[in-house]
Amino acid sequence: MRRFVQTLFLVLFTVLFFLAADPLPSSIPVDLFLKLDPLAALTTMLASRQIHAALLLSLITVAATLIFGRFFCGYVCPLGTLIDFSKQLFPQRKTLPGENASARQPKYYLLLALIVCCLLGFNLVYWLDPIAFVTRVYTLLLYPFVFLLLNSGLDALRPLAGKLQLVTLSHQQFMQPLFYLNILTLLIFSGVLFLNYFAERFWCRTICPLGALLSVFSRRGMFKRQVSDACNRCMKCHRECPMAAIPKEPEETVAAECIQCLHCSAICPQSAISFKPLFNSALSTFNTSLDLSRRGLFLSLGAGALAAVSLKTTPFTKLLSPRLMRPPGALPEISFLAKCIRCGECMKVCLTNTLQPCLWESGLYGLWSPRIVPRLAGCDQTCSLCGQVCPTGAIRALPLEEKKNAKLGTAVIDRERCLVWAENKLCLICDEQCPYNAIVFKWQEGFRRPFVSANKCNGCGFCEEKCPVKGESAITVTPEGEIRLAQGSYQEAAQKLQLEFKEDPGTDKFLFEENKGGTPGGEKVQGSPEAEVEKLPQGFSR
Amino acid sequence: MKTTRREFIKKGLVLGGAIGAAPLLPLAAKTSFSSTGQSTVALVTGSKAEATRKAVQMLGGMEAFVKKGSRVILKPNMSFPHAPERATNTSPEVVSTIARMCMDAGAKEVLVLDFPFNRPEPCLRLSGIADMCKQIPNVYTFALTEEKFFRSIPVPKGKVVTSVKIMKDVLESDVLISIPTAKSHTTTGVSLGMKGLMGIMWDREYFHSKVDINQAIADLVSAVKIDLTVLDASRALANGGPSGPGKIEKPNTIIAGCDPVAVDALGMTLVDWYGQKFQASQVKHIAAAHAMGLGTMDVNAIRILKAQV
Repeated sequence: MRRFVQTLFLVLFTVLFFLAADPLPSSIPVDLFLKLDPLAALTTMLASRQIHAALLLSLITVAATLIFGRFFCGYVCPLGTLIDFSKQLFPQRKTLPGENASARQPKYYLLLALIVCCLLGFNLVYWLDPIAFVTRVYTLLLYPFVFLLLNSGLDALRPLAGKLQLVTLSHQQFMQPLFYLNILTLLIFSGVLFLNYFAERFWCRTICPLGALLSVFSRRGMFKRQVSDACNRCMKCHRECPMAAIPKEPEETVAAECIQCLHCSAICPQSAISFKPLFNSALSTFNTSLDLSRRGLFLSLGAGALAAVSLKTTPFTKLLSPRLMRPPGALPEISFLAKCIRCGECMKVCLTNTLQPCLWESGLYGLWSPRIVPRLAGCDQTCSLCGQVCPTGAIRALPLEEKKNAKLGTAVIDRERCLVWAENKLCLICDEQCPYNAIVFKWQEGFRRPFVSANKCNGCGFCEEKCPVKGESAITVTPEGEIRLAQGSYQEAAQKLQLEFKEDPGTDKFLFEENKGGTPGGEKVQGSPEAEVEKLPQGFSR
Repeated sequence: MKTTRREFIKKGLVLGGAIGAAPLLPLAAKTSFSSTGQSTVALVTGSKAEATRKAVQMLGGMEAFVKKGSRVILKPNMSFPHAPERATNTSPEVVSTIARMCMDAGAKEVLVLDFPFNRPEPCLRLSGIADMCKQIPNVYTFALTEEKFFRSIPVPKGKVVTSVKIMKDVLESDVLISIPTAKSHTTTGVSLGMKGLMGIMWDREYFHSKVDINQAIADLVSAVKIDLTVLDASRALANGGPSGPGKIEKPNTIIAGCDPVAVDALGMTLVDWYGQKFQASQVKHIAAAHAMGLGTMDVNAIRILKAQV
């Protein structure tokens, strides 16, 4: 029964994950699990000092935990389920004294340290939040693996499909998603599963701060483990409880740890264990204390504060990587990092696969946070999906017209590398690619040379992606001029800065006027006959 | 060898069709004998679907190009994630009309193919072409963006290109019909039928950055036989091309013909490009194709069949 419910929730989680794609279904909350995560809600709101309405959905989880207990870990949490389902893969060494309070305490201290750090403005929850963690693993690993498998299968079927005249099948293909940091993520994920080696659900008992947060609310939940007189103290339940929630007195229960998996009740040789709704919260066999030591509490307060102080005193708070560009609508950097839980939904949904996880680009604190890698792909001007799926509002959900004005950066031409500047070639790919007409041509020494109109450049990066120069592109986007707003309209901000992302054909008019011997300023150009020949639109001759 | 055979069959069919259709006889007989050296091009003004239909009929009907059971490739422009109003992609009505005519002529299947710059799904969706062609049985629309769908062929007559990777589907089909939209182009001046053919090849960047693209386009046309070009000049993006936005003129014209150089040459005359009048001979890639003997750009030497619907 529990396995069934767990499978059901894991399937739901997986389906919702894969639904986060273009076109985004409007009626289905694809980030439901993330929005139901009270730890993500608590930490992002504390660190950013803002209420994010969508995350208040997680109060449902809190309310349900208050009423029913810590069922979330045993039935809903995708990481808990994956840990359960994979436990057969790892040899088990059950030597950790599970009922010992010291094995349960670290998660509370971690939670406290996280909260302290958040109060000081830095959110480190992305290291430890299980829902964000699994979503990230899905994005960086499962998503590309599935498409590799799909495409390989299609390739294998292609000759047969061709013979059988299955035209659609023989032409079917999917874009292969690619991600940096997949191996690091795989190692960490395997490590978490491997913790089963030390004790069953080691992650959940010892580390998980979401589990710790839910424990705080679960202790007086109504489903309580009750042991009847038939118990002969065989201690089987004590030995097998995956959460070590049954102490040496088997009729007792450590309330905070019990995830109501019902394992003890199922294996009891005497059938002496039952879980019944019980409204009497003061059951004597129920140990509702969290067993926290004063020393541990002080230590975690100190650790959280120290972490925040360390993060506050790195140059990254002042100086970002010169090539770091955030998704369109990303909050100003400090609030962005405070809110981003690194779930990777934005990278999953990204139409062009340009969004990639950071390694060191904004310090260790920015690990896994999304950045635009224009050499890989540009940011599509018809897409604003990253903001639509961001569960915490680190990337604002923007309508397309607003998104178009959320300038990402500005392109710069490297004249030493550009084929036109350096080699007098006819290449004009950057102009062809630019959706905003930001590449203009001016006459320089008898040649038509490309320039970037900074006030038209949106920073989308298609020029950098498609530049045919091998290695480093001859036109690169830098964060110069990026617009990052905590609130308010990007359109208004762009207008104030006299930016123009209207895609009007002004550039061509300029070309045309110059061909007639006038410049946009109305000044006459007296060109040599040779220059006159050159002053035709590209591709034409006299 | 293959091309020769195909051409032979086609001529035979045209002749046969012409004999069968008495009213069309004089016309079809003329168009069929391209060996006389004169290129025939139909220029029809009117609404998109009717003008398209009429233009092909004036060349002897689709049966002249598509024999029963053949596999047909249509190559429209659907490389941009833009709606038809922006005039960067071929009008869906023109593409679907041609597709329907091919099926009516007895084609086994019709594949509508292009290699878009951008993520393919939005291009297919927003261009409206996939949707409109989906309604016709055995007509398929694909954007092929993976190298595995392309195969290298030699370009024996090429001046700057010696080999080029072409969509396997094009190489393995019986008929290739190019259905370009008429637009300006920052690199090649205009993008009509011959420039549009770059959509069936893999390594476009090589054309753009390593060789003289104008000659390279002519080389490409010398290696891949276009059986029929239907230029969608229902509207023309007179500047701002290929991606737009730009000035959209409305010539309301469809130009069809077997000679890709002649169709492009006539296409040049429809609007002022970049606000200027240009002769086809001023467009470097058209002139290069003419010089290679791939067709004629001399507008006065083209037999133009005009109609209005």
